[in-house]
Amino acid sequence: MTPSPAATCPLHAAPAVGTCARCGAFTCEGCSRWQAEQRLCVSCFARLGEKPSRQATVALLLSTLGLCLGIPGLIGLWLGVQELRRIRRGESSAAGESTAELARNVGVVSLVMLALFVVWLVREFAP
Amino acid sequence: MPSQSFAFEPNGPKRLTLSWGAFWKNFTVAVDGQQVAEVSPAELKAGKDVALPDGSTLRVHLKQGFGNAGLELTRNGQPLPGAVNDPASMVKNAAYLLYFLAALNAVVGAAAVAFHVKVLENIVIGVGNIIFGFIFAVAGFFTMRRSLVALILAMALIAVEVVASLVMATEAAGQPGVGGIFLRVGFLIFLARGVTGIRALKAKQAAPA
Repeated sequence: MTPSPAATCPLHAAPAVGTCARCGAFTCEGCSRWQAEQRLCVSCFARLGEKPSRQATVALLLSTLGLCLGIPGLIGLWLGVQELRRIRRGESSAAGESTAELARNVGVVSLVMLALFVVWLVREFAP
Repeated sequence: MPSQSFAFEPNGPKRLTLSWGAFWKNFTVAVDGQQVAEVSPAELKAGKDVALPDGSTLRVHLKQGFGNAGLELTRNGQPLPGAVNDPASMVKNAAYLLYFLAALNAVVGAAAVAFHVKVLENIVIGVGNIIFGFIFAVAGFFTMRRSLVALILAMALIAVEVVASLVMATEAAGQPGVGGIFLRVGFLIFLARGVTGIRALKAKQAAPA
């Protein structure tokens, strides 16, 4: 939303260039931050954090382990998908978007690895 | 006609659109759908400053050197998020490449084991590749977390693989797989950009605000 020309940023008294998508406060160019292409004020942005969330990191770690161990990859895949949804809803830091995407994609590969493991088990041990 | 969009800020709306034709002809710069400049291929190679409607200056520079080819974009001297010269993108792309190599090794190795593929088994593809893939994946994970050590170790592993394949080919009195070696050298150059990216991000972090 573009504010009227009279609106000013409460922090700097500079002309506002938009409003925070989360709390509605006016923001100037200097204190506008972005999350999933939505403008946020400095305090709302700080609340979400500037680093990937713990869930995004754990998702990628589990997906990575899943490449060799199978099952953790499925949990990583699920966590990665959940985290991506949270980021797109503006509930988690967008800094974790590529981490969560990677967790989801590596999780899919883990799923393939698990399927190949099942094929191996069937071929080796089935009567 | 290829086109690519960029945001001016990390995670911001993609307001800048660059489009071009064959051999970088008809290169145009548009902001919010409005064309602001047209750049000739010669200007693109030399580097061209374009004034944007908000008063900032966008520099477009087509680099064609060995190992650093790509379209570099800076706005008021700062790399644009997502451009080839953006340190965060360099690190992300290096991690993606490591995960790609991990997935490729792991899946091919597992397929060879699961289906007893003779062609793959003959060229010694199997459990070793799964382990190799896992090592690359772990390196990718730590590269994503901006670990210089992990990225350099992964590069060293690829370099060792190149040397080993050369030695093995020499011992067997055969020709080394030139294509494979070139590909791995290409990977090393690409990953070296990740090293540059991590160093730039760490320097930025260490610099006083």
